Amino acid sequence: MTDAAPLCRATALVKEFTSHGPMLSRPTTFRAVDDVSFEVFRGETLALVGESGSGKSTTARLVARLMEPTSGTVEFEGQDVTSLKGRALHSFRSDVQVIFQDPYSSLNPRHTVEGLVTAPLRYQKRRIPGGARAFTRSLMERVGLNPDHSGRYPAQFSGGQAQRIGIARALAVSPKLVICDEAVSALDVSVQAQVINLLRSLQRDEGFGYLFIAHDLAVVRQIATRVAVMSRGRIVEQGERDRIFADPHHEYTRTLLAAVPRIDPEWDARRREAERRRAAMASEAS
Amino acid sequence: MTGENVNDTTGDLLRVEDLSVEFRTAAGATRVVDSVGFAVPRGGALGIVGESGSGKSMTSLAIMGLLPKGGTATGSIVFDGKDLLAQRESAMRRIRGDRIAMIFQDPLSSLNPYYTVGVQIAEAYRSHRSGVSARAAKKVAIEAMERVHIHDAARRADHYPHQFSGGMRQRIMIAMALSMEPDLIIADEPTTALDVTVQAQILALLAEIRRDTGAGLILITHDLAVVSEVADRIVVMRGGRLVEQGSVEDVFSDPQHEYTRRLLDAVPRIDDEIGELRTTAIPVLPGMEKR
Amino acid sequence: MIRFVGSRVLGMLVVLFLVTLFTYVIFFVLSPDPAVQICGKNCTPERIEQIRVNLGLDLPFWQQFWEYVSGLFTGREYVVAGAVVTCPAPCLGYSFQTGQLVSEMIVQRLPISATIAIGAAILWLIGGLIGGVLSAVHEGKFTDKFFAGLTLGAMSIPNYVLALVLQFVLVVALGWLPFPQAVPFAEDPGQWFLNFLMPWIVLAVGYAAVYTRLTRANVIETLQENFVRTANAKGLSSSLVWRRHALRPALTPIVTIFGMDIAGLLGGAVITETVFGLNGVGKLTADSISSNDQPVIMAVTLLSAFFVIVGNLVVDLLYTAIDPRVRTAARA
Repeated sequence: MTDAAPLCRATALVKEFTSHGPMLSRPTTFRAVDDVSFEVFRGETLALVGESGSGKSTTARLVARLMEPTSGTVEFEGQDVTSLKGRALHSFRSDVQVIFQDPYSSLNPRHTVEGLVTAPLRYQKRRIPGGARAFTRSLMERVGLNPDHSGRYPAQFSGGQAQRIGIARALAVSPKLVICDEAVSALDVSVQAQVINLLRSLQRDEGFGYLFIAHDLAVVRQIATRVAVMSRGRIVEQGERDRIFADPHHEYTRTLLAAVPRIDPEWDARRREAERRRAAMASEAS
Repeated sequence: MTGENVNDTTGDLLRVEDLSVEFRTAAGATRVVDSVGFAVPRGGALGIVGESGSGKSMTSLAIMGLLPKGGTATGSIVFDGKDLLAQRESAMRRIRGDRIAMIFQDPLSSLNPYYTVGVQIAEAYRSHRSGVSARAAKKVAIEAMERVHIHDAARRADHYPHQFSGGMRQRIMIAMALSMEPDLIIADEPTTALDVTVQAQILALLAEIRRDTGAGLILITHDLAVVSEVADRIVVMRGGRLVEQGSVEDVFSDPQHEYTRRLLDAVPRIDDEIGELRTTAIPVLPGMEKR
Repeated sequence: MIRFVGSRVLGMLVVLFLVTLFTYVIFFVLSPDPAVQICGKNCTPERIEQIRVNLGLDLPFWQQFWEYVSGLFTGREYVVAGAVVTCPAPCLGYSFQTGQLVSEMIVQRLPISATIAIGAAILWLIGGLIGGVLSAVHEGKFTDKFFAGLTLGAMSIPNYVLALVLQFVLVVALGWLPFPQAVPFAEDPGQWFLNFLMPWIVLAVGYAAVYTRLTRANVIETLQENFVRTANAKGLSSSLVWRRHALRPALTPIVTIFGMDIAGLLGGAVITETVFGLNGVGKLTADSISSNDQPVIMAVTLLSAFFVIVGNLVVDLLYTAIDPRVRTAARA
């Protein structure tokens, strides 16, 4: 729990999309994000949870300034970044990075790992400390990739590894806020667990804040400090993670939690017991 | 469940033995399923779990005889006293949709956009029963839609797939499967593309149908939590091979194989934070990871 | 639905107007002085000036354009040699070459172009669909490769080369077919058919090749679709799977392309008609270009554009009828 100023604050964000029908009809507007407010603190993770159409991805894009809100403000480290343009927007980009869901479509397949990872620095015309090759290698090691593969292309990596490239790219500019937009949703279970561990350890080491967008509540349980539940563009409930999971106030949160399938905790307990017995026998034998 | 005589096979709805699936390409032959064997008891629910590349989908397609071009299956798949792998295509067409029905992952692309859902649900009925008029078949379709709790079914039967939401479309797929009252339903990742609340509804619907009709179920999924709630028996696959099988309770409480143990460790639990998810020891087979 | 159709028609009218304007500007800017042309040899500056006044060529551009466009709807009046001549609507002017009413010339020739276009269209549609479906069913095997080679050859041969070769072989050498002439259908159906056969074949060959490849690609892609897998999973008979779940989705887009292609050809198949000496709109186009007969060139350009634009609209509307996804969006 920190009483410091928030790293990022969103206030009353609204995003409307207008669609124009055939020439003679009136356009219809759709509110994807409807009066959303939250704060993300340094070193912590705020999870935005919701089902499809809840507006969580749109909200993430607003915070990342990949879109401009229809109304409302986004503040970063106390400064209003809602309508930044040009150079100021540029420097904001080095403070906030995004990791997307599908690494194969968010990484340019024609660029090597080195190209991908050093791109943010090159676009921002910043010096690459230690030279491109060394920089890439050290980043790859940080995210658990083999540094000798820095000349390879994304298609040559498996899903989990490609996602690590995306993480390395985000780290390249030493951001203060990392937005994870369903970053682990497309991964196999075992790989997902590895990437979650990686994200957690990186946060411990670097101290950045995460805005973590997800639909999987079990994953959110592992990584979030605080949780905001979204439905139809609005935040219906937010608070400390453990509180939300143990004592949900809003009807929708309760429905959501009830719907998640669970492995019988008694089975888990028995499994861990069996594990302990095995470990005990093994050490006895040695 | 424990203590049942696993050698008593007369009660089995489906028995798969030594099933292998191979694909022949210009580069050579690849085995995507390697000597897999399991059984589904009458009215029972079997979950086939695995990560990408485990061969779980191919196994189900082999049972249905729907392998993509270039794939051949060997071994035996005994259903109702007949070996499905030895059947001619005409015999398989009679079985498919009538005795064994299949539900797929993405309901939007699995439905033909050019025809109404009523027509698509009624198709199977008209195909498998002779001398059925379009009107009678449509009644069957509407009844099937009502069984899966689609409101205003009579009117909505004339709607097209794109006019329904994702969850409704999956209900339509289930209605299609149901209309013939099959003995066995194979569901391949039926809820993966759906929201969690919709998933809960669909799984509840499947359970209800099984209760009412006594149909057996093979549920293929990567989601261990779903399997634990839906299935009685579980088969764990990895790299085309069967790693472990048994009752759900046994396998979850005391997994025998290292891979199963690590897999269970890696699944995030909603009820508490596991700390460091224990994943370091699962070696990922080369080429097996999701692309 | 009305809104949908209404907005499409409105759009069509706007495009037609812009095309007319654009074409008019081109002719206005690029063509040599028509008065000089009409005057011909033995011309005096006074006569040229006189002709210019008669034709209204001394008026500012916008006025000339307005005269032209309004003439399309209400007809125009010219003063020639002291007498007033009425050009009825749609007034496309008089040919510089022959002095005939351009609209009459076109009306005379349109049936021949239409016959050529429609006959060829039927041929290429049937040929293309059969070739395409056969190739798709036997993908990778000999039949497929055979059609691939055949279509490649068909697409590579220039129209006029094929026309001349066929003419030489079938008419001159073998005498199976007569030199193509426009024989009215009512007069002698058999001769009419034989006369048009070669132009039909020549025109159809290139299109048939394209349609074969298009059909093949569509069918192969449709066979991979998940709903075909569902259809098989339901145990439907293979003919039902083919008809309803493979062919219907695969061939529907082709029908619309077909509409566009025919629309394009109604404006005249220039090369085919010229080579065979058939007096259709296409030959008229070729002749008028070489003799720089402005009003005619302008008229056939507009006609062609008209057919294409209307064809586009028809195809759009057709799509709402045949694709349920478009239909429901249109209704909304």
